[in-house]
Amino acid sequence: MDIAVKDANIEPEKGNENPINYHATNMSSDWPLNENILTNTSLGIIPTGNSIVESSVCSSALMADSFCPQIWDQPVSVQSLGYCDVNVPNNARTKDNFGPTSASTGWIPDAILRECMYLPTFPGMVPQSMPHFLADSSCIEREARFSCFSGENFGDMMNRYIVPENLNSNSHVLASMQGQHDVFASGGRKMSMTESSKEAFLPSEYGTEGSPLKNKKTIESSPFSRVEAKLGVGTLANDSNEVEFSSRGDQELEGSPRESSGKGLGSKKRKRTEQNRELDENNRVPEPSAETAKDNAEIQQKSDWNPTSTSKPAGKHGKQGSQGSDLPKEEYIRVRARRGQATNSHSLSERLRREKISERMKFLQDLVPGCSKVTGKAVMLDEIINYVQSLQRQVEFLSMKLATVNPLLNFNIEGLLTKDTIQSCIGSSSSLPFPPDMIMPYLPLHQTPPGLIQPGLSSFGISSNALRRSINSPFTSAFKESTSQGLSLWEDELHNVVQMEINSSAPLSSQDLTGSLPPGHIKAEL
Amino acid sequence: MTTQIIPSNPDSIKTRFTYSFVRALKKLNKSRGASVSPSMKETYRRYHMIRVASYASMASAVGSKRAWSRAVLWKIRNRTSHRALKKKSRIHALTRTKVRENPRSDLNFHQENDLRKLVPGGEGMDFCRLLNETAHYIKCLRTQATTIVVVWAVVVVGVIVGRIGDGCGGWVEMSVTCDK
Repeated sequence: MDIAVKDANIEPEKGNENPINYHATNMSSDWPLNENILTNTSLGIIPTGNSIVESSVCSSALMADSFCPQIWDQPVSVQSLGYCDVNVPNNARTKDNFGPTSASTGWIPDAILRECMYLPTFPGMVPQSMPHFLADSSCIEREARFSCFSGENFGDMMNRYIVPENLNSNSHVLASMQGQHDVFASGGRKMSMTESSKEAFLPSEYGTEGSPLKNKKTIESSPFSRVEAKLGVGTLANDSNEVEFSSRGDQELEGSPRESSGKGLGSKKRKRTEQNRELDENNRVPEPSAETAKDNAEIQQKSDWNPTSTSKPAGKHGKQGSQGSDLPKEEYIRVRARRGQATNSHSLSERLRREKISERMKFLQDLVPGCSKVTGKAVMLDEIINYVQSLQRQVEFLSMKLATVNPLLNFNIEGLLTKDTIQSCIGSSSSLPFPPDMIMPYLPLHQTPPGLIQPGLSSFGISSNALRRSINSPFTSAFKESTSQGLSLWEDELHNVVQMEINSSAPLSSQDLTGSLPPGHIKAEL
Repeated sequence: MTTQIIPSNPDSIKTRFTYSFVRALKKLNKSRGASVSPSMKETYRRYHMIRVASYASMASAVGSKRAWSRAVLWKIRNRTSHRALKKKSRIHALTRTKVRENPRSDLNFHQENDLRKLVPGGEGMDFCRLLNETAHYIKCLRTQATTIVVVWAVVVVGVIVGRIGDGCGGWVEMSVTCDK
């Protein structure tokens, strides 16, 4: 929960990379450093609750600011933190050294938070002994998580900041980390842990930000706790998810020790379980076994932390992973899927896909005129196809019209098609009161192009001023005078038709047009 | 998720399209020389070139951001010289489509296929992306149609005025009186 909060709050910090990864790693980097200092200073127990979260987040924010060039966009607010319930781990408090013997069932982050509070001055983060106060399975899980976090941050921070003070602690931390990983091994989850730890402790690899780091983070994130990952993904999704996750995280942490999600629940898996949780609040998804952890580790390598795509790959990979763990899950979870829906991750991903598609279809519905009343995908698709076809035909027809008109143009075309005319074109086309669809029924009704001018132009709402402007530009004044009479006549008729159209809201039918054409209608033969 | 649906600025696309289309028309008229007698073949050729010009200017106005614009530009560029290559790529695209076929969308499969054929470059996309491209394509088609209409109107008016200026003023008056 804390982690979730922190993740959520730290999210906006890093803009260049996947926010979740960075934020998580940032946070974790804060924790180990704090922890170290805490152990040294043997600070007292901080009262748990939201205050801790606030303070820790604030302090971490401070620290983040101190070493992060990015701006902390999101203010760390009490409200944002308020929704997470912090379970104070009893053990963690009592542990000065935060050694592995701490039987903290609560939040490691609590301890870390405390540490964070007292380490505002340490810009460089040493990924260290965070794990070493994890004794429980849950602790171990978090430890692994943090190790991964810290590992990532280690490389990241090391590049940026030189903290000579921490060098000694670094080695100490590394040793402790290794020790912790031994502990993990004893815990039986050695494989995923050590893998992750090895990955974590390759600071050379983490020299650069960007995609390689990101990828590594994803790899390392496999041992991350479910909660963190889910929370991370949840922040991507929506706030409600976050709240749910945090609450679930509470349940998880308090729950069975099998919540060794650090085992390597893939992010995708987490996403999948997230979705399960969306459906069921009583979820107690036990973390996958070692085998699934391996799968998750592999899946993680393929996974993408891209927020926009977490859902999709999460669903897909969650499929693979969950299938293996479906059976063991059943023993522990009572997943309540949506009424009448399957709980299979396969169907979950499919549901996601369907939601995406329905979202796009709604958008298309707004685009295509006359589709608001239509319901159903098939009918909508038909309408869309018809509309696209009609638009394409329209363009072809208009280009055909242009082709017939063009040869009739004299050498004035260059004068005509000047920038002025283009501007008026753009202005006119933007002010078209009717969609071009309405032009189509009119155009075929008239044989001669000039016959189309009046209804067409009136349909377009092209003002006579614009026309005059476009026409006047290439012509000399003398010419204008000679043609002014005819032009004025024509313009008058155009005005009439335009006014008629404006008055009538309904589209003009062909009969209306022919009947309403003023007697002075110019029938120029082209 | 809605970032993919954010519409691009239509005004700039419209402006760019108008400029490039008008330029293409000018070029076309220059190459064609004086007013040629509108034989069917000639007219058809002009029509074809104008159509290609409109699609090309539309696609270049949109740029390479969209898959359909890229497909259109690619098609136009390779139209004449690489017909065989196009066939090959089409086959590849078809095979790709087969691979990506989703058995879950069997209900709309027929329409999906039609849509794929309609939208340029829609062969090798999944359905979700296809809908995105369709939305953008519809928007651009609409601006294209409206702009071409206005260009055509201006051209026609110019022709009429030119005719009037050529000394057909009396003829216009005659027609006016006749109608009365």
